[in-house]
Amino acid sequence: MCGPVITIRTQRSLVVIYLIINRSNFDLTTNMAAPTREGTANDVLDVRQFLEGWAGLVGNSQLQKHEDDDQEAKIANDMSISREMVEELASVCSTDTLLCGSEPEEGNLTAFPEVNLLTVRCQEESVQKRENDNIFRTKVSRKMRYKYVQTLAPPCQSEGSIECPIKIPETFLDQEFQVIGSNTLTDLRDKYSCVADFSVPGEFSEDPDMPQDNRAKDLFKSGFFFIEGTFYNDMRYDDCRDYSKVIIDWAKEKERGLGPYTSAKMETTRFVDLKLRLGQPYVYLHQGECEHLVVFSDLRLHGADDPQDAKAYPLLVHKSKPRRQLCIACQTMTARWIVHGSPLAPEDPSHFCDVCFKMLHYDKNKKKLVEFKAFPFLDKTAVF
Amino acid sequence: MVKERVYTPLAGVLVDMQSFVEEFTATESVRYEQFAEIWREKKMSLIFCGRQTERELKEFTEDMFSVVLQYLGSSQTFQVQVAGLFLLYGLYHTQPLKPKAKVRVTREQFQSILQFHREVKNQGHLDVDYVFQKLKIQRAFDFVANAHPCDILQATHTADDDLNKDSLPVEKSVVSEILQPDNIAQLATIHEQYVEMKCRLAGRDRPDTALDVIQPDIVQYLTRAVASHEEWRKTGKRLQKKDGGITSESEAESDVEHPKPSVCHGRKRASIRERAFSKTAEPSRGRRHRRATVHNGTEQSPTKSPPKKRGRKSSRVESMEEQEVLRVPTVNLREEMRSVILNMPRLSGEEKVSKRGKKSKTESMKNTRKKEIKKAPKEKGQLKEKIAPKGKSKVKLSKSKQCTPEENIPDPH
Repeated sequence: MCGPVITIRTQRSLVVIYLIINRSNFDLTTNMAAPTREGTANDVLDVRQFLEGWAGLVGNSQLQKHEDDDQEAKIANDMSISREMVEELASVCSTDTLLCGSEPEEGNLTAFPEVNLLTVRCQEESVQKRENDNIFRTKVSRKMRYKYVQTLAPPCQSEGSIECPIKIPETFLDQEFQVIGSNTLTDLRDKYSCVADFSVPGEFSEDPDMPQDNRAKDLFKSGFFFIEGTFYNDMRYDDCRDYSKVIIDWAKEKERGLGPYTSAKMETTRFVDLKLRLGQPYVYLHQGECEHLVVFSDLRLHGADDPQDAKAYPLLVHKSKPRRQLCIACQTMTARWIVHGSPLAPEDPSHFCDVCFKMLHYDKNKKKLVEFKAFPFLDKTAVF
Repeated sequence: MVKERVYTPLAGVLVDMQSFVEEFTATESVRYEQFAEIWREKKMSLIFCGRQTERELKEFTEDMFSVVLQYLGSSQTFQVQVAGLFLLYGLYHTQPLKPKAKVRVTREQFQSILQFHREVKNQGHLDVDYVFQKLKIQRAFDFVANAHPCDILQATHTADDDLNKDSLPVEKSVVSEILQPDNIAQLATIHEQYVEMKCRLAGRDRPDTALDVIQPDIVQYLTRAVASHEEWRKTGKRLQKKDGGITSESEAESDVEHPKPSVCHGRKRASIRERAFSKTAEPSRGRRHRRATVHNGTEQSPTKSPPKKRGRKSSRVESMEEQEVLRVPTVNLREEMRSVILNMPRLSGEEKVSKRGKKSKTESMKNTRKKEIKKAPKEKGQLKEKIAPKGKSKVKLSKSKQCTPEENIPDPH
């Protein structure tokens, strides 16, 4: 992502917007995107239209789980033939007819059998190349579409009906969620965990044992999603601020060629109301300046093989495991403090675990030994 | 040698699927037994073998489904569509992934599949119908907006793509992309049908001369023209027009008439080098430790030059080198320009010229020279000393700087 970083200072908060401007001028004014370097940006999808477009084509039988034991009766019914015919057909077209006898066993799928298929030969070559060339191996690993494979979610007890059967997996680049059409944007916001939300503001060097109970999440509750030219602000609480007003006014001011942007409420917008592009990065901003990219990667009908409980959504499907920040002193414990300007510390700023921090900077009377500033630090791996 | 580091999970799939469909259509039957026989004989269930991880397998399976779905499109013949459906059934069931990867269908694709299903029902093919019902009941389809899930990483250009390019990309010709073998085959069949129709109209073996509106051998003419163009792009000379098309004699002939391009190049380069190395350049004070000496036609000049200049110079010289690749044969023009520039006396006043003027080269040289000076000035007096004798040193230094990139080119002689 290249492009100028535009910083807007307001009296209260520092808002930084990265305008992703590709070489061919992504036009934010209209909904048409010029071709990017890799390919064309996808078209805008209306989620509701997508859902309604499938009406009549797809029957409930394919979306909901039915009792599987009487498939044949069902097929006989659909095909308007007798059950005996269906059984005969079943034997003719059974999956056993597809086996050639030399299938590899369960665990041995990586081996290359002797078979006259160009696909297998090419794959063999590719694997050989990967073994010989490290760069190619890492490149292949990075270019693969799936970073992980989902395991089946355990079957849910309660049978809540899904109101708008659409699933939208979306990636926050470190966490992946699946949402259904009836979820609101605030549902997603609440499920997404960011370190900034749980951090404790304040300087603690005078009294490190002061209780750390005021989380930033409770102090600064505002946030917005920026999707296709509209800012969806979270206005559930009285002290929530409209972050987007500054940006909208700024975009109106000069001939920047931006906007006009609109704003809406996050808590009343459901995913089925949205218009979005797949693969297009959108922005989630909270805590004044903590930005995250949100990408909608897929849009499909909710099926019988997906978890059926509506309350389970937004469903966290994947969370990346970042490396934890170690204490600079012991290199063993996870850091709990970040220290600025301490002459005793090897770097500025440094991360310390609780034990090392107190041992280094305080005497036995719990008095500060040198001049420094200490802030509580919460590692990404500590947030669930 | 360019190392192709491209990840192609679907390498070979199209070939295998195509051969399967061809074999199936050759049987002229739409029965499942025929399909199963060919499937077993080809051992298609082993197509999934060799994928190293589950994620690789998943991507491969889904991509393969999307390839097979093309055979189910409404523009295909009925038999090809049946083959496609059977293939889907076979691949869906023999895939080793657990839970099974689903077949992603967009609305348009599913509509054409349903249309095909209606036709199947009308024609009364029970086994085909059954196969489709089975796929539906097992929920093999996933109803999506886009054929593939879109990840943000695919939309950005990664830096290592550039780093992996070991050589300059070969310029592709649009002409050869348009006239692919498939297109030419189609064109040939259409032309045959056209000629046949004209013959039938005339009632004789030959079409009526009144209907002669196109070239009689249009396909050969086109292929010859394209081949000749390709040859010209590669070697810089046109093929001789022969009735039978391109022959090796024509190439040999043209070789005899004109000397080989590499020989031409060698001579030209040698002459430039001679002219350039006849005088040595006065290096800047910052480069005092590296004195320019002339021996055996090579010169040790400071190898450190600003990358911009190096890039520009080397690209200019390389462009001469890669004449075979570039389309515009402007060797002689460039030669003349260079000789003019080298011998041109430097004017004291600066004249504003357009970017593409001759003088821009010297100006840019001067700018980069100034940058070099600014890098290591010890005293201010030295600076003035350097800038003052603009005339001579400019020309000399430009020559020496020109020599540097040439040095990097391996001498073929």
